[in-house]
Amino acid sequence: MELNIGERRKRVLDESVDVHFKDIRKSFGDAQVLKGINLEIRRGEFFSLLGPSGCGKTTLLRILAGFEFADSGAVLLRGQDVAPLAPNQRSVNTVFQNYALFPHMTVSENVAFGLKMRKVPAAQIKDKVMSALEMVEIAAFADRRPAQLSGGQRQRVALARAIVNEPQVLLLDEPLSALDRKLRVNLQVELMRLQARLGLTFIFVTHDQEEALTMSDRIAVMNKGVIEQLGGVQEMYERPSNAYVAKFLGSSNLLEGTVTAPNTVKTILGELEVRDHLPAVGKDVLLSIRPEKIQLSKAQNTAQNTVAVSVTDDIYQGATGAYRVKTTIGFELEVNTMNSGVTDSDYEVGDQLYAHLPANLMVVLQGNSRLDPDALEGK
Amino acid sequence: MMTKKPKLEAAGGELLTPRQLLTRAAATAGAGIVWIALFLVLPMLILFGYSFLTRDELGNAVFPLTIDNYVRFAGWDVLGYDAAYLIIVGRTILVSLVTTFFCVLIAYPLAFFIAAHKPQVRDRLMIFVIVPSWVNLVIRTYAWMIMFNPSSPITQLAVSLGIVKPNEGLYPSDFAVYLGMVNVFLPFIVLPLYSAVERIDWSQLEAAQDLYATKTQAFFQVLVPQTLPGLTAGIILTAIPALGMFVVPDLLGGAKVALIGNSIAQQFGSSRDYPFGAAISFLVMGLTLLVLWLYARRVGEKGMRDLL
Repeated sequence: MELNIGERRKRVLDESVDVHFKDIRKSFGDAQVLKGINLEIRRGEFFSLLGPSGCGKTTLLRILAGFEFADSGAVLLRGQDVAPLAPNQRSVNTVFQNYALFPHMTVSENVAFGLKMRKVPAAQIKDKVMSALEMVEIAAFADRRPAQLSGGQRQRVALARAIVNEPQVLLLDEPLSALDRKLRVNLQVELMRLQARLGLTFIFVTHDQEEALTMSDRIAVMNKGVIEQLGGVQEMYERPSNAYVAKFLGSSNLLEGTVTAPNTVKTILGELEVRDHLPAVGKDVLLSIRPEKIQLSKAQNTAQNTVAVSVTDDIYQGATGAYRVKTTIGFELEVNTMNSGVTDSDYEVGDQLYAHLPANLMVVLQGNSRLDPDALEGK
Repeated sequence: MMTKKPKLEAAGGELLTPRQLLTRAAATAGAGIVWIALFLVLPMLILFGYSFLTRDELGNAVFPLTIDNYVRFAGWDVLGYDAAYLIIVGRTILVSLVTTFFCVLIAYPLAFFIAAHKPQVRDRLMIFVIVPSWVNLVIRTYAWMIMFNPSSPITQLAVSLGIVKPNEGLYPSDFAVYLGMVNVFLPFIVLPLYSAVERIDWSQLEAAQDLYATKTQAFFQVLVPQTLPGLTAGIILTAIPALGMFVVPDLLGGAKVALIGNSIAQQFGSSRDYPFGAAISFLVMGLTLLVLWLYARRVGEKGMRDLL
């Protein structure tokens, strides 16, 4: 079954749960790494754990693989508590960050290792290894040793070595972070195809938000041992629930304000109309708007939600343009434009423009309504 | 007509003509080659020549050229056949192998033990392995003799445990010989083994367990094979010098058992039979080179380079 990526997005996932983390807590010495993680991962899902280094995402993965033990809580793999199982008894396989290939074995010996340990008959091993190698397009290198391969090729071997065992869940610990960008993007596409074809549950750990957005069905944004938000990719991007997620997943302009009337918030940019659900009049809110949703123009098209700005930074990025603009009282906004060539979108530093913040695209954030730099840093 | 250009070869990022290449090679490696030629190859050739001479009544090496020395070594003497020297060689090989075996037995866990520590601690632990080998061999050997004499506390303890009879020392004995030998050669096997163990990426152990291996399987199928180059280097560095070792067996064994090293020393010393001593030396060296050659054939050029 060959799914293209568009079809993959639309596929309907099984509702059954493959992995269930129940109130997982873990400390290393005084440092609390996981502070009660509850998470259900569905069968056949491409699930990403996204967060900065030290947020506990890798520890969570290692608890599932059996290399760490939770201080409290339970991990259920297809309904079975894995606590009494040693790593080699769990039907999960890991693609390690540094690949951890066995240097003294050839590529095919590496891939055959798991099957050999499970005493699969030799004839079957050969076939399975070959088909796994073909699946990741590395069959031509079957007799080489890892040292003779490039980073991308090693990554493929590590992948083949894991999927050949047909595990219930495949764990990927930042497998692409050591590769250069071009290769990474290619491998992202291949990983998605592979996942759709195998129908395997993937748990993907990454600190790269773009990678997580590209590949995942659902994402859990983690920070300091807690899950900040959990949801589908589109939901997470369009409706970040708090300032941390809004800043970590993509970038956002954050505005402090007070509700002055239904659908109206008074901010540093003046009174703005907001369509999102607002708290009662008189309450403080924190608004978020994505840089690409702000529209810049030389002429003032509408008075509503529009502020006069001047361009302070003009960053040409090829396909997109990134601008920093400043209002008359010095408040800075981030704005991204598409280099479509159709609209006049090539502005220069010093240009006097109008920035329009569409009322329906501003999101009311949960949690702290004040801009707290510590919260944004994840402290 | 085209002019013929000299063939250029890439060397260290430059293109050089063969003549330039040769000049540079001579400038860098030349001194070493001369040194080895003068102080290794030349003396060896002289010694090789000696092994075909005859000993006269006064102990001088004289003509005519003969292969009698080699025949004598093989056992045929004027008095009839006696395999004494072959037995000595066999015994020497046995001592060398037993020594190596015990060294491996100790070095293996030791190397893993040291590699399991933090880098700073590792270095400190390695000092304990290396520094004792800086003490002069004879001094160390005499120290063992003192520790093992009949009145020493260690011997007293052995007596009270019933290991040795009262009024006997722990030396001279095979035990003392092997202890002394292991003491001498342990660093030679720990060092290469440790450097092999240290290079291992420990996440492979997790990867192996992730791929359904038990901890024991992970150790023997993933870690041990990666230590083999270091282990082989250590075995060669131990077994070969152990073949020629004569101070330790002589002193701690009480000069009762002849080994090849002692025999050679005796020919050049009290027996004053240089030709025969040279012949024995060359036969032992030939044996060693044969083993190395067989090993080299098995592992290829790259394997030998790893070893060095």
